[in-house]
Amino acid sequence: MSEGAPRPGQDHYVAQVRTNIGVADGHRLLTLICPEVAQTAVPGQFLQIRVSVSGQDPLLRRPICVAAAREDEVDIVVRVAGRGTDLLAREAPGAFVDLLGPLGRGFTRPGRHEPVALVGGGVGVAPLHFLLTSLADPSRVRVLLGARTRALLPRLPGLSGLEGLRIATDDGSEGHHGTAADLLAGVLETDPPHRVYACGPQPMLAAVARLCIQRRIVCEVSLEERMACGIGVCMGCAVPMAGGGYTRACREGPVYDARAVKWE
Amino acid sequence: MGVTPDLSVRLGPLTLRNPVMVASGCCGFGQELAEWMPLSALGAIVAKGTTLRPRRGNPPPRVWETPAGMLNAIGLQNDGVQDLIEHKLPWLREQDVPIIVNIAGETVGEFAELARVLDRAPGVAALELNVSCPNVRAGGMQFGVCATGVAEVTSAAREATRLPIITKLSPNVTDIVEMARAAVDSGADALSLINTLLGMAIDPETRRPRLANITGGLSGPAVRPVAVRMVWQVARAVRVPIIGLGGISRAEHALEFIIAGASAVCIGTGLFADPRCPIAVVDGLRDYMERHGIERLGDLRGALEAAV
Repeated sequence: MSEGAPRPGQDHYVAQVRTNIGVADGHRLLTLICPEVAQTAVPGQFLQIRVSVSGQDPLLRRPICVAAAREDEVDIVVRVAGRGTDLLAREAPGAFVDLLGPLGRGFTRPGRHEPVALVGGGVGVAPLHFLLTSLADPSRVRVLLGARTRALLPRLPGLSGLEGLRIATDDGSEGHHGTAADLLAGVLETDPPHRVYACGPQPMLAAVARLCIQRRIVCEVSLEERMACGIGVCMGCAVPMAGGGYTRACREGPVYDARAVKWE
Repeated sequence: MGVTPDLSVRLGPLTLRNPVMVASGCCGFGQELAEWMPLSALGAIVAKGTTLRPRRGNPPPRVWETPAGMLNAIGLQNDGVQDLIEHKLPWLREQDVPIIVNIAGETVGEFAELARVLDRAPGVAALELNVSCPNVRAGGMQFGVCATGVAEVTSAAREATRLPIITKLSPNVTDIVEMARAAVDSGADALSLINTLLGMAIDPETRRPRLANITGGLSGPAVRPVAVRMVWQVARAVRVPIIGLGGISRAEHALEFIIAGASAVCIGTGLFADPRCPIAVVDGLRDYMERHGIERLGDLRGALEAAV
């Protein structure tokens, strides 16, 4: 990558909201009309989306992973976590959102027939959904999805009727009573995949990383770190690295080889 | 009858093509920002705070959003001055933009050493002295909150280099004018104000601070009135040029600072929300000058119409 040169497709866009549907309690699936991002984004990349009209308050954009891309449109999943995401989740069809992207480093694509498992926690399923829907044969992929409770499981289109889908809930209200990492531990015992892709809360990722590193299975994790700029200038989204020091989730990440990260 | 607005401004010995600069710590060393806008559209770039030796910075979380602003505690993460000279300046020199290097010493001696090293580095237009970083233990704001500290650092740098010296002041003081005078009396060619306001936020559910560093620097639109007030106070008290910063992302914000007495402005946190906003600020300043028949931007500096 030459210094100072924009990355593929990376630009400032104003995208119209095509649809906005609920996919879980407090989770909205927004479809945005943005052909340039749809054609250039790779799974694991994110968008920096403005959540206020003025751009003054809330001041910062919200980093949101692309959940799917088709021809002229991209999907995002917005989990309402505060004032900014609440504003974004309310954007009605026809509204315009101001975004920067696609940003960051995405997942390494698996080989055509390589067995893979996707491990998602809550809204962390979004980038994995993009990866899943971009694969030639999604039906062979195992998707291990966890949430605190049944009502918080994002019901994304690519997951419906998927044979390889396994669910875990912390309260046992659906699927396995436990975590998505528990499900992965079981899969690694019986039929280990070649590659594992994971996105979700930090404790889940740490557990997934530990399991994969022990068994020498290639594992890529998408990290959620508090971000300010999202474009590599503020050094806010520091990720501690196994070899010492920090890298930027927005730039060297958000996808990392699990072995490169320093897990607490 | 139209005028062709002249946006160029004098900053002590420097002449900038326009008054819109990007602030230290908010634009890295320019490479990522250049993906969004040509750096040659800027009056100058102030490179990220550079120390004698590499610094890892603070553990995360390093940032937290606040009403119309944010807290940060990055902790001066950088690869050190040698890396700047060997790997960052050569690219930056090609971008047709004046390069101001922000330097941060842990001791007065380190400031002098940094100034000496950079005095010989080709392409550096000026040095900005960071006596106001609130997020490091040694050095940083400890120098910026007492007049003797400001004076010692500024004098030491002054003696170590012929480059223009800009002292960046901390707002975390009782009397900003006293700090400004100390810097000017010690040889500062210009002043930058303000750095961030020391702040703090807590998660009541966990009782933990939002930042791993506990405290951090507040920036963004929320601090703008404080910054404008300090620029106004300092502009009336000293004769060196002032670079105003704090919550600027539009021309109308920059105009507040210029009318209060700033010669130039820096955009910092505004870049995080919109990396192209410096272009809009320059365009907006030009529009304003045309609308008001102002030929030279310098004519607007300090032009506050105050009720007596």
